[in-house]
Amino acid sequence: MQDREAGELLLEKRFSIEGGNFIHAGGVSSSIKKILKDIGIRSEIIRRASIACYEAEMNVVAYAKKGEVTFRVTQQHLQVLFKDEGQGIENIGLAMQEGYSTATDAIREMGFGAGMGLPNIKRNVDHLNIESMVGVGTTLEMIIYT
Amino acid sequence: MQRYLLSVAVIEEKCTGCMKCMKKCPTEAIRIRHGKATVMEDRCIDCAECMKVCPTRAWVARTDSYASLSRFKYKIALPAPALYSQFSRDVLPDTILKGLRELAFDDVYDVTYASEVFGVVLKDFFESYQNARPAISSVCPVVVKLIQVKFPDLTDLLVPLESPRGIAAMDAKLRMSKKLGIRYEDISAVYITPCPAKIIPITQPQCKEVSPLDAAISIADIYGLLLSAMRKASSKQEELHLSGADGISWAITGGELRYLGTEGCLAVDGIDNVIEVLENVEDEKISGIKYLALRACPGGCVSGALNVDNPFLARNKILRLAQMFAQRKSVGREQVRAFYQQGFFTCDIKPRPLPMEPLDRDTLRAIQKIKERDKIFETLPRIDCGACGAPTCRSLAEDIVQGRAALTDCIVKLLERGKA
Repeated sequence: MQDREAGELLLEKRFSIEGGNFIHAGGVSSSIKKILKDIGIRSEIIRRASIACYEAEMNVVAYAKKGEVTFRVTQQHLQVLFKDEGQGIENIGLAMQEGYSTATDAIREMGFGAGMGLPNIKRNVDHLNIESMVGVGTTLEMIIYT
Repeated sequence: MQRYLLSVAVIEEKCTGCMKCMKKCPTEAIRIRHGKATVMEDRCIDCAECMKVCPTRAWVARTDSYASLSRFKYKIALPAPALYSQFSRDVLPDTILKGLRELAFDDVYDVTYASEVFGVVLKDFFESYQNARPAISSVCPVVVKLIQVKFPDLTDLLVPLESPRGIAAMDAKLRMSKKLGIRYEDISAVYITPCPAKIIPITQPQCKEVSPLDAAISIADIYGLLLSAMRKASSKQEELHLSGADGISWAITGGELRYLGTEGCLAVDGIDNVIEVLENVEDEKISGIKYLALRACPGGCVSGALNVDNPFLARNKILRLAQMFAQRKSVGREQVRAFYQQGFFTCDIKPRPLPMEPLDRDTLRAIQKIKERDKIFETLPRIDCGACGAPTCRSLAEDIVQGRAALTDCIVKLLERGKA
């Protein structure tokens, strides 16, 4: 997945996400937002990246044991990889449909799990690739052209 | 570009370089240089947290002085609703307004009345508002500045209506000019302000091309004078204070909720909380909210830096006054229409984004600087002691990369080298 035509790699940062920890959820996406502001990326791009990263981060927190995030800035685009160890997605096609959700009541009670996560990511990025294995985990790659 | 004038300044002789303001500043705009606090002007949002926390009163407000009002021909005092909370519990707004008139003012105007008119107009705006993202109250100048500087993408969400105090100023001038047959231009509106930030929209208008207000003087500055003037004021019955509970409640957070209801309207105060909720708006994490009533000061204007009384007591007094005047009828549609016809609410200009600079205007160089900064940061002690003059180790790393500081500024590193 990584060898998409991208031009030179300019910056790479790694973060980790703790599954089930809703208190610190959102930290990775706000770190990424801060870096993008420091770089001076166009605000429209920052907005899309922040929304997509936040959704992806919440998915890891809600459905996985833990996750690793790799954030790359290349000459042409931003690439963010979310790789988690978790329950995986059984049917990616279904998961991409708005309103479809496998969230437990506990997660819904916290205001998550409305089935808008993946569709919302898709709306905000230029490319979205999902690979998942049930019981093992999910890898999500998103690309936004700068 | 127009140089930004701050509403606060530090008096060097009084500053001991204790770092309290630097640590408190929500935008990391303060550095200690040569033992004195200095401000990075493009980051300051005029919240006056520095002033509130300073133990030596080295921070002062750049409001107008009482003496300087003599430059105006005719002047009207327009007290912020918060002024009604600054006296003992049995003092009513009418007494305060009479007292103000005894001072160097030709007349007084009850701003809470204009606030009620504004509330009705805001309700109309709210009901027809169609946008996925919430409208943001533009009443608090700190919130406006914060959005311009830190959330430039959200400037379009600021409510495009003249503020209650601006509306009050125009109505006050118009009435006086009719009553006395004098020129509108010869009349000046002086706001009696609970915070330094209110001076900003006067010097840098954000709605009308020219600010309807002409000056702002601090509540604390005239407090003593006003107290004795209130004692001298006549006990004759006069209807100066015109508002009911709705108008009075503008002094505290959520005054708008009295008009808009709690459905779809969220009130947030305290600068850090405001920053957090704006981050959420930026990331579209907030849904079901159409309007954000934001105030930089905890509890609202009653805890502005230029007030005299304890903010909690002040808030209590506002609630008490609101109860006392709860039966009074709020402004009617005819009054609102009269304000409308004058074009009081319409904005000719809007606040423009004033984004903080990225690390470098050149993307490649900015990325290079991020790498350098993070590398420097790794070598720092990360205890955020502040002794270098920057609020955090991270901000020191950034200052070094930007050429504003040196690695040798770090005391801990210096000690390490001494031991080696």
